[in-house]
Amino acid sequence: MRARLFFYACMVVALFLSWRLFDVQARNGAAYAKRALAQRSDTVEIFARRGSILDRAGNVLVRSLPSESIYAVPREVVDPDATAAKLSKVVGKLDPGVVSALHDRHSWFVWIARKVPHETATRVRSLGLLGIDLKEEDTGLRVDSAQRLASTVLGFVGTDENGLDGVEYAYDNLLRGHSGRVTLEADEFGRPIPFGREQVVAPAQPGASVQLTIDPYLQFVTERALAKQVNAFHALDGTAIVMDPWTGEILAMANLPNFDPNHFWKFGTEARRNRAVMDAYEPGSTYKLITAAAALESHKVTLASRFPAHDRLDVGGQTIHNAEDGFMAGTGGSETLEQIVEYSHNVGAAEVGISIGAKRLYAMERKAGFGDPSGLGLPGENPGIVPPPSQWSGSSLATMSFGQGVSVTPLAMARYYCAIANGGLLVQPRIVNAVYDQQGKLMQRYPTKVTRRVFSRQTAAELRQFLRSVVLHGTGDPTAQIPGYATAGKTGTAQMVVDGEYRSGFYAASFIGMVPYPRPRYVIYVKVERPLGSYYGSVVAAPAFAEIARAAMLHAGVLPSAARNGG
Amino acid sequence: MIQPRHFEQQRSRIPNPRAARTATHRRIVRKSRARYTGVARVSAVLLVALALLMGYVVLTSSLTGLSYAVGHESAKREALQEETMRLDDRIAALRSDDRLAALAAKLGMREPQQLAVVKLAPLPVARAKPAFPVLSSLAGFFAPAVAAQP
Repeated sequence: MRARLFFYACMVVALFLSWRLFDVQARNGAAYAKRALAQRSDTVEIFARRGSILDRAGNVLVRSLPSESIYAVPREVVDPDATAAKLSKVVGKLDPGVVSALHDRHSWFVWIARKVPHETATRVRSLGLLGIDLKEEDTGLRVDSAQRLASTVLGFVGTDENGLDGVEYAYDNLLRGHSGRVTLEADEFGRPIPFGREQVVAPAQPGASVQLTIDPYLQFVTERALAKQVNAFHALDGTAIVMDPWTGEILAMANLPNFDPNHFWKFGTEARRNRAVMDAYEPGSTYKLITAAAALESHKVTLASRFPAHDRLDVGGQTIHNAEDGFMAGTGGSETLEQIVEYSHNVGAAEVGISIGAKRLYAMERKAGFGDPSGLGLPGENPGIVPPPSQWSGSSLATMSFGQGVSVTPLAMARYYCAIANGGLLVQPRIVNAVYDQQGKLMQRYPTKVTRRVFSRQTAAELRQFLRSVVLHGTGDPTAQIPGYATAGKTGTAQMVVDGEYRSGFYAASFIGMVPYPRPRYVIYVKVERPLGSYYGSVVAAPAFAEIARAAMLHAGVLPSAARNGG
Repeated sequence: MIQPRHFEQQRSRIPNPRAARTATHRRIVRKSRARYTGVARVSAVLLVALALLMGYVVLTSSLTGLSYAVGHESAKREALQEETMRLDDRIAALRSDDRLAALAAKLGMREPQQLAVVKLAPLPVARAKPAFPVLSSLAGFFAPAVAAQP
């Protein structure tokens, strides 16, 4: 009887437990699980991986790698000095503030180094220092494999991977992607429990990859040629651009000085400027092609028209001189428009400008896109200053005819010469070719955009002929010539305005040319500012043009004529 | 003395004592079974429930193990992807024109200033070796003379 009672009692308990088990696990299981999860779950932001920047061939120029940061818990550091010495060998010299923080026995936390490369993190980990630990960062470490190559174009990002300059800034919305949110199980300190339940509230969308029009080899060659001239003439800075005149693609855009985007904070703002789009300057003689185009389009001036040849002209209370470069006009004779361009005569250009009038010259300037942003899309683009005739002084028409009294950017000049090269069409410069998502699927392609026709094909052909003459017999002879290739271009030597006045010894030497003549494939712009020794565009800038042009042609697989003919 | 009549009387009252004993035994067994049938049924139900529960636990445990394995593999895949990216970056850095130019300069190399195109004669087409040289030579005998010239 007792055994039976005991048995029934056990049965009752077992049934009760079974019922509770069923109640907890099955009947109200979902509700209990939800309540339990709510106690230990946390919704966190998942940062999207930043997209890469690719060159025109699809190779990665800039990418984001997972990063770690090193921190210290000073209370746990046994020997601060020895620890600091060991860390210095791996991460570089520590900031004095960090070293003193390591000695603070009451401190709980101090950063040693943020976003270090993987190798550095591994080395620090292998040191096994007490009180030193690593934390995986939410955002990646932006790495520019080629370091300084095209750095002023690519720009850089901040610690939290937000674009701060260049392409990184201009296309930040596409590159950064969209953060997601995930609910995960976390411990009492909010740290995620490994293999705990994870519920994606909103998935993170990785950033897109932006493919540039930049050709890394041409960029390298351009930077090297520019650096050679800047260093040879101890110049202040330099800019060079290589463009495809038919599509408006920027194949290379070099600026000196430049910087290492991986350590951008070590460089001043001057080194980080993209001078090709930010700095407007008085272009000097390269601007004579605007005057020539306006003259030819007006039909008041033809190839046969002749202008009095002088080396000096008084206009509006100002005296204009020809440069004393061995190509002086002399007196008593006359010269054609082609000769004015060929020998870069300021007086002749002023006479041409006066003959066509302010209205026509200004109309051509505006038609050529000067005074407007180019539409390239890079940050800080300077539209330049092209004052309307109502603001001109008595000498403005004359001086503007040879590039004084207006300010333009190197990009605007290169764009105008593209119109000469392609038969008169003003194309919108492009630095981005396409945008791809993380799976490599094309999201957007940036096509060639023709803004407008600037002048007729006939005028373009005549202007190209002028430029060819410059290289063959004029100011570009022989520095802009390349054996085996036909080149055309124009020298420019402009006095610089410093603190509101023209300063002697301050020049911007430039050369804008195209290769091969007569159907150019590349338009190449080179400018060197404040060179010492010589300041003529033919001496300072033209050799860089020749070097870039030759390399570009070989890169395109076009052999010099002698080699082509079996010489 | 024992009364044999009494014995005979008993025998007469239970005609088949053996069957009676069996019946009695059956009754006892039936009664006993009846007593424990309920317990056995409940126990059986509990056993089945327990077995199901155990099965669930085993499956859950197995699922957890698999989740761990998937987690490990995912982590491994992520690590490999990261390593691939690092290696890609390293390759890009090693292949950079700037670095190669510096190395070439260190080795005293210079870019060629003169280029020449070397025209090569077309390579002779390799003919398959005939399987039967005798027959092949006979075929050549009948071939036109022009075809035999190199």
